Amino acid sequence: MPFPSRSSRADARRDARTAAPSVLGSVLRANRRMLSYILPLSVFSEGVEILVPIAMGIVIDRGIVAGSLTATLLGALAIVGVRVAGMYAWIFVFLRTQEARMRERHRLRVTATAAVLDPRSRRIERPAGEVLSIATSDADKASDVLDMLPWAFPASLVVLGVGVWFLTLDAWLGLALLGGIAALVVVIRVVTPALSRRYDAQQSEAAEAAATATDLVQGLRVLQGLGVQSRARARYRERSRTALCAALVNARFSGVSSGLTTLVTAVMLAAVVVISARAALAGTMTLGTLIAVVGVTRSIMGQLQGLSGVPVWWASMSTSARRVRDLLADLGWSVDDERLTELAGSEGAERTAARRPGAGGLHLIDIRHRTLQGLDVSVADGEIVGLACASPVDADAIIAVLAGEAPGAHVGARPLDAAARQELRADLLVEPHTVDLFDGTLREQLGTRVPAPSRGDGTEDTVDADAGAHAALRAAGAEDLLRILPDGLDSRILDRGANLSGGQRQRIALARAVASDVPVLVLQDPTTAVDAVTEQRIAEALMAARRQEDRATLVLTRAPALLRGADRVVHVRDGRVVADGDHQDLMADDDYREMVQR
Amino acid sequence: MSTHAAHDALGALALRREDWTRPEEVPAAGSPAAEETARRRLAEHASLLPIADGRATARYMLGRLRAHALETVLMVLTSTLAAVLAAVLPRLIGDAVTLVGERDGDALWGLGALIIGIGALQAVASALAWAQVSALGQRILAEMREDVIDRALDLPAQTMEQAGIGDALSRVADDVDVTARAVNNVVPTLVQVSFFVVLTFVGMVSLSPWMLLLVAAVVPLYVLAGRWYLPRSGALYRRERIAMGARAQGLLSAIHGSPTVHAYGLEARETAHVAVLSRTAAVLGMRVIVLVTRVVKGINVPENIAIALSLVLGYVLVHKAGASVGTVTAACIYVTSLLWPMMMTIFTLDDVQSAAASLTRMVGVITSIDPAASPGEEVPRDASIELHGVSHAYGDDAEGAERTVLRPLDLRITPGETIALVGASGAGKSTLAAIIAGTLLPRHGRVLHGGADLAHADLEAVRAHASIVSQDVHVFRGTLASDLRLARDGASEDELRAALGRVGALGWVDALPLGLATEVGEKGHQLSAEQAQQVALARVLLQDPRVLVMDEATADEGSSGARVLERAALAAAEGRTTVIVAHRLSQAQEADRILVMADGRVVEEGPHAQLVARGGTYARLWSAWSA
Repeated sequence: MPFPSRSSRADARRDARTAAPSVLGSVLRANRRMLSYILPLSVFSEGVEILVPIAMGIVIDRGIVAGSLTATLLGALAIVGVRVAGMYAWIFVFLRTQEARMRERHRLRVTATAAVLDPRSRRIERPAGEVLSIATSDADKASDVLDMLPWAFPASLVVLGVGVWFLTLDAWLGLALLGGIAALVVVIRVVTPALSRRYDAQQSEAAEAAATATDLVQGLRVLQGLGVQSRARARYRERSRTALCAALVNARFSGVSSGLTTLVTAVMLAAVVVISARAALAGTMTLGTLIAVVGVTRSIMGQLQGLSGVPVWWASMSTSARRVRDLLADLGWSVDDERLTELAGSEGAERTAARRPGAGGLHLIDIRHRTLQGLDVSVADGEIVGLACASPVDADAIIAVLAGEAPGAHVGARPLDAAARQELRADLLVEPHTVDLFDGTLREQLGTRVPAPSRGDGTEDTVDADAGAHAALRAAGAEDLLRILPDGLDSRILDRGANLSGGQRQRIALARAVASDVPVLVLQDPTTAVDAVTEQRIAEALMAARRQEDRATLVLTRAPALLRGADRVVHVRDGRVVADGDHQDLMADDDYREMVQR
Repeated sequence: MSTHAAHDALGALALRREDWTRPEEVPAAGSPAAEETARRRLAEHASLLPIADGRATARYMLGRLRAHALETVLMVLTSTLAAVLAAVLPRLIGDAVTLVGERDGDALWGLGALIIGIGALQAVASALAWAQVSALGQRILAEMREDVIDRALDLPAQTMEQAGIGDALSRVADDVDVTARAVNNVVPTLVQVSFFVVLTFVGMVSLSPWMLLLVAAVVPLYVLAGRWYLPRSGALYRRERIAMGARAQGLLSAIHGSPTVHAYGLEARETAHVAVLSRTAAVLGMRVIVLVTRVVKGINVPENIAIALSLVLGYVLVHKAGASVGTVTAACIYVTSLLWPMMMTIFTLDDVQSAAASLTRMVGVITSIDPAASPGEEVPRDASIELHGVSHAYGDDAEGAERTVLRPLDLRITPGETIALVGASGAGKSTLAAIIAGTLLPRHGRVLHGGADLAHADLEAVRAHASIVSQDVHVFRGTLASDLRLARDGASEDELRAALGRVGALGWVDALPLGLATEVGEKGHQLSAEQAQQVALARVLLQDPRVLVMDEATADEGSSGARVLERAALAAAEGRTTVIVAHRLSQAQEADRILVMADGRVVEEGPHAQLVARGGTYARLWSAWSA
């Protein structure tokens, strides 16, 4: 089969990414109705903020200076009234936009999660941490566009309006404002990049220290086993001090940046005060306008500083949006695909299925994949076959074929390929060798895929369900767990079985597989983490549990205990079947005996 | 329109306005199973490591500040100076208005220069203050994170098993990170703002005593709003953070476990699970937002009172007390300059509150867990081991939930002897191994290493005397050489190579791109399980203990690998008193003495040949294994 070359595959991926709809576009489209009335309203609420100093100037002029108590009182009342209206407008805008933002975050997150887990997705090679950060912090940041727009839009309009107003009042005043903005931009353009470099350096040192901390805690048992805690402590201290040095440099730079902004503000304020005071002296400006202009200048600095951060904000936002889009495109999805979110809503539909009848066994016919050279293995219903591969590479190739990577495997008469894999899942379970347990009670672990009638869901058949759970634990030689775990079947197992030993994890996974009572079960080295005594016990109980006339079981292993319990053993060497028979008989073969007894 | 359809497709997991406008708990959604797991994850007391209360945290932080008294005093001085200078500016503007009233054009230039001068001083002071606050915060944080790691490294293995390491990891990484981010930005801003607000009020009163009226009317209302808002939002933020953590954990475990997810067809369940947690976090987030709108409404009242009062008082001052228009202008500017900082404070509070929550978690570890101390001064004389009446149980016998894992046992091991422990899982092998190694303190009985009772022995001496290689293999991040040097500080490259050679690892180490300088561990070159175990054994050779306990899993059944490891283990054990938890009987066969364990007690004891001849449990195992 011709495969596209690596580079053309990369090209194809790039094309798929750029062709995918933009995430920011999707977020804005989904909220365009809301934005159409929120934006004008936000101009009102933001305008009120800037109107307050102007109105106060007018009241001082017409009320206090003019000596009219009525005008002063009415003016104060009017300001309070406008502010209350502005506040309600702001609250409305804020609630609606935050609501939309939360909703979009949630949608992007669930979409990304569904895309990552969906079996129809293309396979990708990305570290789990990266996927996590895309589904959490990037999804959050991309949705921030709904936070930014209702603020940046009115704020820029207000700044623009003030600029025009100043220009019409006095050309110099307008120039002073422009000069202030320009100086601020220079400060931000010059200082911010230097600052963000420092900040990045600090962050990476801090991240390095955090990673060292995480690493040491994860290796805690090893450190304690060797008794070298004090050395580990010294190593972390070194990292922590390096991070501190970077942080101190960053602190100085942040201080300088904050000081520069203060300086620009002060100079601009001085200029505005002098210019407008001279205009007032010259009679071209009233005292009230003077006070208004100065008040507005002070108020507007907040907006200016905020707006100056918008380009950086926008950049990080669109980067995040792109990362979400690229992840989805690489997986073969687009952000608006409805089939993805269906997954979250349709939980558990297939889980309550009844016990499946026999599927006709598992048949591997003339497999040529990786190291396999025309391998034929058949497991009929009612049969338990041990498959002993001299090379683990052969075993891995067989597992890959069962994952639909190459043709040749059949469940009954149905060929197993990538397309059919999903629908054959009900009849074929290939228990992954690397054990993964999910947060839940022991009962829930065992009930992961138990057929309907014997599922423990707290109803009256709980007794039966427990009987099933006990049987599964027995088959996996894991009954001692009920004694060890504090709450028996209700004991909580943490994610990835973090509160269990390797052997306990492996046996729970095995019990989970047995409990699923699937027509065709494939196990790969299910007892590598258990001791010889327990292995012997498992071999007997496992075979007893799976020995049913409509169930087929294939165990890839080299453990003599398991092989001895199987109905038949297939010996694979150099990608081919070299012997097929009873374990006891095969032991006569030197190669075989050497392999299983090592 | 398609995105609206997507919203609908989320079905029960979509966000609806009623979810946060209604006062009840976060409503149920999704299936019972997803809900149940979500609830467990969201349980607030999921963490088992101690958390300090607010008062203890404050006391601790005060202590830290006292330890940095000079920096603290300097910081307060510069912050005050910056705020004083900032509070002078409105008065200068007022003076400008007065000058216009007096038609004094010449003095205007001087005033402009003064504004710039004060501004420049303020810039310098605020730059200094910012840097000092941030630096002080960073220093304290660095000391704290070192203390947290310090305690975490001595956490007993049992605690870690019960809590999982998740809680410990979040203390040493996430909490430090959250606090560091706050110290970078939010804390300096907040310090600046609080000094500014206080001095603005001082500035107002300095204009005229009448302004006291305004301050007296407004300040209590601000305080009231704060006291209403902080505890409510604090609780919500805490829950939101737990939800976010649970969400990340759920997503991560689904990604890691995706082979299992696909094999069992769990993608819908796991997606729904993440969606439930995501939704919970979002609903809690919206509740915070609703709270924010209420507090904004709340502080609008004092703001409006202040604005109205400043104008009315202004009228009174000008017309009854003969004050200038400039004074009124200054008063108005003081009032308006409070508006922006107050708003900003509300929006930075979430960072502050999560930083505060993280602080309580860090302080909890630091103050409640004692640093490991030497129980005594006895030092092991030789490599012999004696156990007198040692037994162990987990759980609490007061509650009747005690589970015995090891029944009373006496054992004497001579220097250089090799002991193999054989038995089913749950028989107590690993517990006995950990007790012998000294990493687990038995509930009853005495453990003596070379005559030194572990309960009265010198900590570092015992640590150097006995090592245990456990089932967890972990390769530390950094170069391979630095990983190995954890076991022997300052070991030369030749020593490292010699150790690797003895465990048969030199072949693949030399094949690494940079040899010993290759980055390994989490982000570096991935070593196979077998290679990691060889590294673990090489560490033992470097650390060179006189007593070695091995409780390692055998490698996956790749024939060559298992044999290499068995040889490596023999090399590591050479010349030491060795206790091996034997997973394969071939390991037991080589030992001087085998202890067969069942149900927490030793049921058979003796060398291989003798036990086989006796025809008991071990003989049966052996014949099954070698048949």
